[in-house]
Amino acid sequence: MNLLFHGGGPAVSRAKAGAAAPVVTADDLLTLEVVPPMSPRDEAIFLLHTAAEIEHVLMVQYLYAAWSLPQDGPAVARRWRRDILQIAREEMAHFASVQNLLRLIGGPLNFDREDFPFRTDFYPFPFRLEPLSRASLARYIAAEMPAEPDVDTSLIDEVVRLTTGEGNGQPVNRVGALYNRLTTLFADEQKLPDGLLRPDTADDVQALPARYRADVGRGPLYLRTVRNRAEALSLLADIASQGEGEENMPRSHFLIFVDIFDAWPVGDEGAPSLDVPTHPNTTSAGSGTDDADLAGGRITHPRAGAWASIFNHHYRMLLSWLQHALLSRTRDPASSGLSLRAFAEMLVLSDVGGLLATLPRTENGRGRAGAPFELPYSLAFPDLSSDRWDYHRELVAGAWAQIDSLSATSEIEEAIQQRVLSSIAAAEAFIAEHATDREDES
Amino acid sequence: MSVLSFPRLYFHGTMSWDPIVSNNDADNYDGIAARARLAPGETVTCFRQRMIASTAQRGDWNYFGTHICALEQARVTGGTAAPRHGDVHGDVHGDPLIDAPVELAGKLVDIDPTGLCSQIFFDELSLGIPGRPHLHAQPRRRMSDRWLNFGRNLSRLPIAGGASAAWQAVFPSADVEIVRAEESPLLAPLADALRDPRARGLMLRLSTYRTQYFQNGLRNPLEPAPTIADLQRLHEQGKPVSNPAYSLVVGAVGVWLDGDSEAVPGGRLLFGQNPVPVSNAGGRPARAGPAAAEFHPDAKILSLDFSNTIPELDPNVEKADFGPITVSVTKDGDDTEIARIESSSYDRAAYEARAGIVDIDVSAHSDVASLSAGGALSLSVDTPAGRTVLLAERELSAFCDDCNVYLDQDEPRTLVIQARERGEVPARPLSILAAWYDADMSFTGEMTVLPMSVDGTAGLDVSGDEAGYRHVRFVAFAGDAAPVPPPGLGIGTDQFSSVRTLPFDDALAAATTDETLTWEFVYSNILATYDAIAPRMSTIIDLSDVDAVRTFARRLKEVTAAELVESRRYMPVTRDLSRGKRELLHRFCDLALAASPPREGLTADRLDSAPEPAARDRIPGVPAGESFDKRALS
Repeated sequence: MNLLFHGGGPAVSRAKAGAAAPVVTADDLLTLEVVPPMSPRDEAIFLLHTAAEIEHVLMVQYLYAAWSLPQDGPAVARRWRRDILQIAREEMAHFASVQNLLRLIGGPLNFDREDFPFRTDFYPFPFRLEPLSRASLARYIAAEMPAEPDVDTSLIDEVVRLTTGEGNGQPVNRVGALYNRLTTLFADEQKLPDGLLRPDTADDVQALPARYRADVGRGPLYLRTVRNRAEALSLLADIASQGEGEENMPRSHFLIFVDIFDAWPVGDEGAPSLDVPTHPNTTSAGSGTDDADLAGGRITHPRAGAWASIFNHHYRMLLSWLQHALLSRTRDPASSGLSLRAFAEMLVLSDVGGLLATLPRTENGRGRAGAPFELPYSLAFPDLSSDRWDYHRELVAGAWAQIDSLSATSEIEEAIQQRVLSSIAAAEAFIAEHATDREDES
Repeated sequence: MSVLSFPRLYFHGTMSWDPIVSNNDADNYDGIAARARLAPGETVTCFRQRMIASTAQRGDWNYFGTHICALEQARVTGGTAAPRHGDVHGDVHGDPLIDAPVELAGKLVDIDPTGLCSQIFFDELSLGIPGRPHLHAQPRRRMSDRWLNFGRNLSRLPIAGGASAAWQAVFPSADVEIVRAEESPLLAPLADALRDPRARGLMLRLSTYRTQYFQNGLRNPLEPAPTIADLQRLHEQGKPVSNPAYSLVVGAVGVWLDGDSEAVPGGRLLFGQNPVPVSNAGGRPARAGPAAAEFHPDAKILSLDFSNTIPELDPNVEKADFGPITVSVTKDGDDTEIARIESSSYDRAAYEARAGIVDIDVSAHSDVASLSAGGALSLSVDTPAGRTVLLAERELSAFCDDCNVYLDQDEPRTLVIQARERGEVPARPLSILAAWYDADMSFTGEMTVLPMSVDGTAGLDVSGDEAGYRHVRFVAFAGDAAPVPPPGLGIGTDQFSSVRTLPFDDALAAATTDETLTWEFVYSNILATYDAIAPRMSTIIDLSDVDAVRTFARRLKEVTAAELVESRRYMPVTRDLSRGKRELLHRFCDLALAASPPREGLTADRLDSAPEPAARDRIPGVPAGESFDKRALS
């Protein structure tokens, strides 16, 4: 059975397992195939692109789930919030590591994120920003689950029931299956011969751990440069085991979610999560996007809406700094600063994302808002240096306009506004110091 | 009381240690001023190069250490529920918790880097895995090494390889989460025990021993460096590879009850007396390390904590065989043998299975309860020279749960010292002698006699009068004549607290206006030391990069907040940032966050001229002739 995705590109096939399998199992790992067949290198690039997108969506969804827990709630909720935020950070490191693996085989980098439900058999589940709940935890568990989970089978049964039933209705694919397939490919010297690898450029074009606050080798942020097959396999193994757990390591993503799920109230009764929406968005009613999902998550309160727009804009700035950093050579004088700008935007998102979960969603004060993580019209990034800096200038100008027009109404908002201002000013100063102009290029 | 009460759990595994040792040398780090000793005109970059170039010469086995310490491959080996009368076989088998992982990740920090008083700052202990019976617990405070035993391993192992230490922590009931206890015959009684009104929470006791160095590539995925010369080569190639060491560890988790010490091993304390022949080492004599004991009168069981007591023969950690050990109680001048411990109860297999805890049936003696209440315990073995006392009880003891104290300039603190008589709050009036020792652990002549209150405590007022290190030794005594303090502190057997008073920087903070609080000032006066001495910190935030420091200003404030000092997240990990410098650093961060100041020159990595180094030949507290060093010089 082939599951073709939109646009006629490659899809995956499960030769043995039925499409109704709720969670891809160990058997499935052996049978996942890309259809129609691709060259091994092309397939590796395709799978790494998929992995990058999955890490990106998981990171975003986990951040949203963490922010849906109150910062000032009970101790256990604060611990869960901290744990999930740490998982999101680890997904960020996985994301950058995947880009390094793409560099190793000379593939184009990918900063995109799932926007349409294609490549279904590799994506864990459809993208969905939602407050933490028993059902969402079940989805995260299923996505991060090892092939043979060594936990209470009744718990796994409930996870399966929650991920496939009660209207949620779609099979959940294990992320581990994708990494397993990648490992198989990278291990095969016939399919990916050494000549295809680019060891000499690793330090020049790959994300350096020190630039991304990652330690080398021992985690918990698994980001390393990769020069050869062994290093690639080691990195893939670390990423996979951090998600699934190796020898039942308690800090794996899977087991952390199991831990929360096990203690989470059945039926979400008395759950600590805030009343943040599913699918938060800044769309306007009647703008042609007025389906029920969007209506239920629409942020209509003016102040929350303004902060939501600021959030979206800085999310876009983050992706642009990150692209610029990862597309630059590491010896580029601006390279280190570019990654710092990406971190600065992460800090802005952390501030504003947390704030949004405390602000009213609607004008009549119903519910709370949430970080919308709406994608810009395009993630394409200019290829000429001067155009890149112009792009940053445009974004910074937009950020100034947004923050200048905001009138904070609380002490915490004022503090966050000040920090955002400071970040924008630093970005502007950075551009002034490093930007090339068109004359330089001609 | 303590881990010697029932129920309890046991585990066994390894502990990794990844501290820097660059601040162990007084030549490179001034512990009084808490500053790197840069040569006149030397930049941090040059200092780092100098440190790397002299790695082998200085025996610096971990310049790029992270300070992380963590249980690794530690697994639950078993547990003991509640033994019935005389039943010492209350061990639980087939529990789902057995072989489950035990996790603890913290930071190892010496209060005096040139000394031996180490601390583990950690935020959580977990046993078992989610989705199965398991527990999480948050500690009340850090752990501190006690009962340092430099002769734990009878062979000479490199660096500190032959030494061992005891560590203890407690976890308040409110911070203990036991999940699916009903599925585990081991966890269920522990959860029940926590509901006892006398229970304050859980207690953890560890023994770490047989430490191995240069394990990269064997026990972790780091680039191998089998020798210090190899490590130096890697560093010279620009690879900031750390080089964690690995100890073996056994641990026990039990119930923390009212009256238990929190941070030091408590109970009835026995200390080594005479060396006795080791039958499986050709009759070579060896001493025992300290032990703790507790009688359970209802069950007629004597529990002994041998986790730090019986030495190992060699790197393969076979236990010394002293033969059968006789347990006696001396009361009113009469010795009564109450039990015999066969060597199979303290050999390697037993030690690893039960974390060194030995339960002995003493039901044969009908009067054992009254004997134990009024008599002194001793352990002896029969040797060719006759019966020889291996361990004898120290009937009076005094301890302070604040084992390591950081004080800021002029900061007052009252240390609460608790006296015990045979492990219990004394029923008779006692006094406590507090005698002060200097950084080299030599008696200063300063001492105070403190009256003990009826609850067995006494308060000792200390204050940050002068920057530097000192130690205060506690001895409980009866009558009017205080014992004479020995000239040197016995770090392995004495009860003491260590005090570090951080540099006096309040005046610097007061005299520095916002206008003069420039990046150059902050770097040279505060951050350069960490950038130089603990370069791994700059992996997280490049402390020499003004942009990085400004970008992460808020995070920097968060992790350096005084309120976080008990957490493993606190920075600087070395915990030598004074109140004055913290105030300056936070003010700099606030200025960065509040405004968009003009960009300044980038790195200004120069410190003032450093004073002449104070050479130190040996580590205070290590007995002459012991095979122990903190550096890889041997």
